[in-house]
Amino acid sequence: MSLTTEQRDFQDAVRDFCARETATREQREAVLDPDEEDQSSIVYKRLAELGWLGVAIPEEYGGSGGTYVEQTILFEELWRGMAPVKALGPTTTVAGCYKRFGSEAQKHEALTAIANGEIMSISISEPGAGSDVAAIACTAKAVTGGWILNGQKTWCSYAHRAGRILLVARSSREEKRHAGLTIFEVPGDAEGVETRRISTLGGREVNDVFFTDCFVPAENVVGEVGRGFPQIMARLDGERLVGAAVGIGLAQRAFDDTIAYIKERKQFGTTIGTFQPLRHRIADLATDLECARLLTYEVAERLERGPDP
Amino acid sequence: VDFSLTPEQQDLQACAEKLGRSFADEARAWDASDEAPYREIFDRVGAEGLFGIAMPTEYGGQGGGALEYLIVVEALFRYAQSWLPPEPVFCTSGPGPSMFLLGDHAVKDKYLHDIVAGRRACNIALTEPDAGSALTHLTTTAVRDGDAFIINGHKSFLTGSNVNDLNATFVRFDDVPGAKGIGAVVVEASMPGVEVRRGPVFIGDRGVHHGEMVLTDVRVPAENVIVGPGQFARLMTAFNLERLHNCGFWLGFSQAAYDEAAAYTQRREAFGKQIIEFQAVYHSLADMWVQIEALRLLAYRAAASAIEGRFPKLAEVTQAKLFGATVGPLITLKAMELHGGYGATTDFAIQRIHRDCVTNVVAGGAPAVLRNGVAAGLFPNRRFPQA
Repeated sequence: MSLTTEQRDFQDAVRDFCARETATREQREAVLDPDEEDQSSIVYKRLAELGWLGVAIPEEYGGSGGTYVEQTILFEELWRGMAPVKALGPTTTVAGCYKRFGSEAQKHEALTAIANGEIMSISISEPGAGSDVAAIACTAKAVTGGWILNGQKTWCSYAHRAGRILLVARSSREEKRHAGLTIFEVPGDAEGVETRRISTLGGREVNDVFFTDCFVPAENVVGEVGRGFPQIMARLDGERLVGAAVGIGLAQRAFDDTIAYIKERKQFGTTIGTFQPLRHRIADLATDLECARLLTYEVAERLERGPDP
Repeated sequence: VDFSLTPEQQDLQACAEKLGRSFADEARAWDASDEAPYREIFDRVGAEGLFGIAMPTEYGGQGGGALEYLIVVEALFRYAQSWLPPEPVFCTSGPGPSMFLLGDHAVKDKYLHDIVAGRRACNIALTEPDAGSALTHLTTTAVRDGDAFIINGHKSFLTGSNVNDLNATFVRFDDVPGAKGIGAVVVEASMPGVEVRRGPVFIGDRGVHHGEMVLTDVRVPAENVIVGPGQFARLMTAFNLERLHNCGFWLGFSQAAYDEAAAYTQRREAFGKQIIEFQAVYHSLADMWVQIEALRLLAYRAAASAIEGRFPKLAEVTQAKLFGATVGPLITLKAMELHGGYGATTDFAIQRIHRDCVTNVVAGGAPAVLRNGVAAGLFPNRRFPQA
């Protein structure tokens, strides 16, 4: 893996941004939105102005036209810098869905909105369908001019803040359980949508979402009716790349903070970083981290070359 | 080698299990609010006759030993799924009162009856901001002044600082350097010059404070000396009970995590079956249990081989504690993973169990220090450098 000069400059720019804007707890808490642990509209807007929210969105749809590599750099550095912009995670997954399966009109509409700062959420898991996506029971019933949606979703990140929610629902029962799923675009403020935040160790970013006789027009189908499962599975590749970038960003931050602490903390008359078990542990962690980073950037480059990394 | 408990020990275990279960529904609120009804917990444990479980009857104890101690705290930890219900056992029979047992008559007569009866409780004031693992580098001083000592220093991580009024305070006597100068003195929170501070907020072991104590020219009568200088090794034999308590924690909490994972994986269905039916899941549960059994053998050996049945030997209890602190957080993390996304939500007990375990890794001796001790025991003719 080797980054180009432009990519290195971009990495430096994101790093400098975080060092300047979100380095301390006081700085981060000062900009947080009310009732949020990890989301700041102020910082999110700054990212939009810098063109970073649409880093991997094509220029024709209002983005900066970068690759998965730039996207990976952005996530790694923002999470390393503890920037309170966690809603960018699900929003980027949604962007990936539109990029790949959206109609021309949907792409213009949604991708431009994302690049300009709209938060979006994706709704796949249900209480009884987690790893087993094909067990989805949330229903979409065809009616004149559109669909009626009913059911419960869970683990929907930032659904409580989303302008649009992409919902995977069962539009028909087929012999094959993977068939008959469809992706719908649902406005966050649509009638019949209720979100309820879930308290976790990582704050309250995820939600239960309840759909009750929620109507969406026919043009809100994203991709093909009944092809939701293969579409979602393909898009999860992109989500996993974001997850990997987030993981190395957080791990790097933990590593940075640990190095600083063991250089500062003294016991037995010396800094604890001089003890062999700690040095060895640091060496092991650095190696693990570098392996994870190489694999992640390699996958980012491969995804750029084709959809099946 | 006989691994079975006596009928009396089995009764004791059953009693502690039942008491532990009675707390289980309350642990969540204690953790969430960081305010536990400490006195009430004390009274409920006392009502079952579990105060002073391993203390001699002449001081009001139950006359049991290290084995009885471990049986009781293990069961309380496991079934309460909280670190708090074992605290009254710790306070009335753990390292604090055991230190008094090694002390002079005056200090025993003055405090030990009250402590064993649960009327007063004692923090262990040992760690300092700049002396954690490097215990022998502590800088709190006790200087003789007539029939008293003048104490100055700063102690941190005093578990129970907002609820207990006594502090078994480790000090350096008359500026004697190294381990030789270290002893312990009882400091009462109400003595002039004692300032107790809230201390940091912890992610685990919540419900009472682990605060700080700043001592400024505190005048303590000489009779409050528990153990004077030159007896550091002796003082540490009482401290081995702290490590046995830690063993009970790891054993109890590992099993609590196992209990939660076993129940959840038999309830949760995916791909049309209970997830325990996936081989990766039942193999994980099998591995967890084997580690728990290995820990049990190490911990109970440490208790069974205790000196006079009371003071665990350093090597045995250190190995057991090191093993517990090594496998414990791995077991609880695995149990959390087996809960899927639900494991990280505050609705489920497993995340609290895991947080308490992460918090406990260094309690009673950091793993690195325990490894120093194990190696020193294996190669007694060598002196390994600490730094």
